[in-house]
Amino acid sequence: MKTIRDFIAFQLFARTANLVMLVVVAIFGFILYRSLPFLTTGGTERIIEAFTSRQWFPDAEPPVFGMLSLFYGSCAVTVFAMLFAVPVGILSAIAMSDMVPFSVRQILKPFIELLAAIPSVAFGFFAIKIVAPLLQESFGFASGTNVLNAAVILAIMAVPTIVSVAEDAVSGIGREIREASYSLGATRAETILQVVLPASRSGILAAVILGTMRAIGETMVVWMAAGNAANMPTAWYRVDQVILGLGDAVRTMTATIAGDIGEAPADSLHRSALFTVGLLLLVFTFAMNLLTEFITKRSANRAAYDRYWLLCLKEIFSTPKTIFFHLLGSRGLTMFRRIFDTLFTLLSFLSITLLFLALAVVIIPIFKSGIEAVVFQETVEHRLFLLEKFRRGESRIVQEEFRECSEARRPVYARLRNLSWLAPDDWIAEASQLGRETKKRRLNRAFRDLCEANSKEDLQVAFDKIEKFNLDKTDAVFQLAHEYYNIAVNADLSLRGKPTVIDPSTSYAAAFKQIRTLITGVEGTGCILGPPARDGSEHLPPEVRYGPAHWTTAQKFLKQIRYAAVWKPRTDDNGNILQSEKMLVNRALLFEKTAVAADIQALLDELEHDLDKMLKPRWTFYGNYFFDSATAGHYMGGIGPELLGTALIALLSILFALPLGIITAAYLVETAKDNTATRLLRLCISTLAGVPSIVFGLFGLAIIVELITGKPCLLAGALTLALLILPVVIRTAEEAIRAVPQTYREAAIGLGAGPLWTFISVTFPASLPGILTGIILGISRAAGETAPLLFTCAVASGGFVAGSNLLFQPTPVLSYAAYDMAVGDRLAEIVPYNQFGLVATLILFVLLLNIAAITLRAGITARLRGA
Amino acid sequence: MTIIQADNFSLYYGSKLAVNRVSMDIDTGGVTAIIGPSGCGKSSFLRSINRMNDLIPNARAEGTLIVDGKNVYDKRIDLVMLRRHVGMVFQRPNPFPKSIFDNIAYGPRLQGIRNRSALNGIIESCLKSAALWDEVKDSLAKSALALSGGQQQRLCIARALATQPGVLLMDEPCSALDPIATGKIEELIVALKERYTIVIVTHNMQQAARISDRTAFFCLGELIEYDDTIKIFTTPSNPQTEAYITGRFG
Ligand SMILES: Nc1ncnc2c1ncn2[C@@H]1O[C@H](COP(=O)(O)OP(=O)(O)O)[C@@H](O)[C@H]1O
Ligand SMILES: [Mg+2]
Repeated sequence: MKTIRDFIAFQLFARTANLVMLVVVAIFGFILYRSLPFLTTGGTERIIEAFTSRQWFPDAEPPVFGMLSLFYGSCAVTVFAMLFAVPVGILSAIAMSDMVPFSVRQILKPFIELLAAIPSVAFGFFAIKIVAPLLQESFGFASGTNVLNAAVILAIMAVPTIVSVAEDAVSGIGREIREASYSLGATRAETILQVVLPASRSGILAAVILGTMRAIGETMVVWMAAGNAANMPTAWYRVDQVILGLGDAVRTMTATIAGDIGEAPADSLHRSALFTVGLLLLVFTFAMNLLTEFITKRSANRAAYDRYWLLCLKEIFSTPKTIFFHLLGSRGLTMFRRIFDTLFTLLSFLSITLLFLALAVVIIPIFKSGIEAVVFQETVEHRLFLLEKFRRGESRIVQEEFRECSEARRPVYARLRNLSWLAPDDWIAEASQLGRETKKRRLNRAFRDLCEANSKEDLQVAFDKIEKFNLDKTDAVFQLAHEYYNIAVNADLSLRGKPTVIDPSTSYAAAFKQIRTLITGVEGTGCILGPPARDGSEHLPPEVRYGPAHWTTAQKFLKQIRYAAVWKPRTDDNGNILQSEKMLVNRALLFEKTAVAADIQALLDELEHDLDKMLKPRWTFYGNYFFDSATAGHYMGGIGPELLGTALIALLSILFALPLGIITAAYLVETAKDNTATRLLRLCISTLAGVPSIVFGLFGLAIIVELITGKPCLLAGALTLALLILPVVIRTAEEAIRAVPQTYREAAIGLGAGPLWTFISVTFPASLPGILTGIILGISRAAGETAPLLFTCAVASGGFVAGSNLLFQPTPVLSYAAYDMAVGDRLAEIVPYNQFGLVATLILFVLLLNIAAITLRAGITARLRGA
Repeated sequence: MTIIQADNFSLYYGSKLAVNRVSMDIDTGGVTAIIGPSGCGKSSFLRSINRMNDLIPNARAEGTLIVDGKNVYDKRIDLVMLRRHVGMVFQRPNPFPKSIFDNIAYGPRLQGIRNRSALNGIIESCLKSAALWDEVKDSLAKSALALSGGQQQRLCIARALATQPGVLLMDEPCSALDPIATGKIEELIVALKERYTIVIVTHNMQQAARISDRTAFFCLGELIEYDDTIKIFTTPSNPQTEAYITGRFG
């Protein structure tokens, strides 16, 4: 029945499947190739230095590339993470397989899978935004980003993976030997510890290795949470030193690659050194992979130790237990067994509770703050922004509203103006903006003298001088000078330069300026009201041009205005300054006992009292958050470009991965023989699945960006991600094709169809729903990844990608934006809801896709079972 | 003397009734066989005696089942003690993936017997009782999984004997074995009945006739007839029983 067409098809499938091998070889090859300059130029000394020195100073002269502290960083966070994740993971797996009712287990299992899919950048975000401040403020760590933080987060992240695989192993050993144990009078704890765990140890070990690999290969979490300073205790082999180091920042291998590439010129030794770090990661994960393979293979062949000395050894180790049991006596032993069983059950339930609690602690705050990006009390400023930027809303109504608000604000601005002699440089700046050409120098000097006059006499002299210029009464500078004179003539001008009583490091002028900027704004920080006049402020950045979009932000500003942060030095008995403490004082107190105290107090009171009239907050649902573009730092607007970028890149990458993935899967199921070549192909697939994502980033940079596209862009990012999701696609597609009942195929062949036609007409269509699951899972994985996009595609901010050369543009994506907003943006700090909203959207995006995949798969399983 | 006493005992899996109001007394010593078509609740009844059904989600028991004067379904019953006293051998040999020695020592060790020489004694006597000693005495440290199916099943019997039970429940212990291994197990059962009360489920009527003293016939979860084996196989009083043993249904 085999035709020439089938032969060609077979060859084609086989060749295509072998592309996967080629990919793996290419990854190893190119990473190695790019490491060569580092490995060869410095001779053995450089290599020895890399493995023995703790100094990573790529910019020094000559540069030093000691990787020891990077290894230490990776190991420290991983070991501490595993100390938590392994026991919790295994106990949770036990609780799920042996303790909770079956129906509960059916719910928990897909739930755990869901949790394993949460993008790591979301965890990193949580580490920086929530754990770090907590560690710093409540636990007194010098810095909140340290080993402890990274380890805790990595642990939370790795547990679902461990549980998922360990649960499969534990429940996979079946009911029979459990029954054997129970029937001999064993308690549940005894059955699990003495029979179930030993019997499933290879699967559990595989779970632990997988968790460890995930932790070692993780980039975003450690980059964000571990503090990024290459620290290593001198006595790293001493447990106490290492534990003391929990509060230190470390730098991991992955984070070094992620952080350094930008500073390492393309052909530099530095970059080559980074590729070497990547190579080490690659080799390490490959070795782990082989180890897993070996363990699972070996235990399949040999189920128990059959060496006598092992038996004896075991006996020696159990001697204390023997003595303990002897001491207990038979009544005591019965009691002890019962108590132990109860404790073990409790512990297991505790673990699983802890697991869900930890994940809830991560997810709930993100969503709680994130939802504020969409549902919030909107101020008139936001309505004005939407109108001006997106032409959205009823122009007339918004303008009218804003006019009313301006009316309410007038007294505040007026008071500010009356007090503004305290900040003469503002006046000088205002005058110089008027840009007069004639007599410019002298007039400007005179105006400056006027503003800087420190006494009534000086003021009068300066003002007279300006009058002598004989300016036109309508002249802007003259009017300004006049206005200033009128304000200043009754003021105590000497006050300006004096230090305030409460905070001697601040002058009265500076204290006033703080109030003024908080009200009217300065670039880089937001303000509560915005500039007194909107017309002509179009050129200003949005954080200055507009007041806060959210009422909650306005409240925050109000608090900042009402209370000044003052650094109080604490002194010992001899008057030496020990340390300074930050404390909040009522801002009006800064001006206590001065002539302006009453004015300041009135200003603050008015602001507080009439703030709702000035901003007109109103509950709103900002659905366009998901489609609008944002201003710099996401201060205002939405996450449209990021969402579009994520969707595009995920779709593109699945488009690239799908053909190769399906053909490889079809080859594996339908035609591959069980020979060395096939086993090699399988090894390649599992290797690909274990490659740390940052290494994909390196590969994408070295091959796709530098050789094909020439610059980071959508295409490069999608191709890189396609490689990353390839194993996911192959595995699900293989499962789906394998699940098609053999009878279908036989029926087709019985009707005279060749193998190729059978596959195309029968097997493939029947497996489509399963393949769809793979597509969805691939998309979700691609959407959540950050590290591979760092060097290949992502930009921190930018508009929508569009146009005919769409593929060759870089694009903002949710995952990278989440990172970027979390680590450096001062503006983003002011609007946490926009940060959290973005991260919540990312999580939601990925979770919804996963829920879809899980539901789909459940449907397929049910249908197959029913058929 | 009665050792097992079921009174109106029923067992449900969810809403499915698997054992329907069975009342049956089993005397100390001897072999009691339970026969019946498959799916009629033989295993369910047997597994109710040492409460192995607890492991099955939503299994539920009604009525009383008394073993050694204690209601098995009493809340205060000590399951560990019950199962120690009522050993079980399963349909498919299920040795632990441990050495032969550890398999048999498993029960005694749980009870705190950890002294090497005491264990050696127990293992030797149990293996001898299970007629396996001669075959494995030189390879006690070998993995139990390396044994043949029949040997594994005898190992499981030896393992069950090691906790010194009074009652031995066997659920089709020979169904996975070849005729030679089956013969050995049957011999073993006959030898053991002097010291243990044995309840055996079998779908093989010849086997029941060969080895048992009394036979119970189950059908659709109900106990149809329960009498001396000779009587059941020669002059059954119930027409259903007769139909079954003459092979007209089942
Ligand atoms: N775990 C279970 N859940 C639900 N139904 C069960 C379960 N085990 C057995 N049954 C049902 O209970 C009935 C009796 O089963 P079983 O006691 O195994 O019969 P036998 O051993 O006589 O073949 C059967 O109809 C079977 O389908
Ligand atoms: Mg049965």
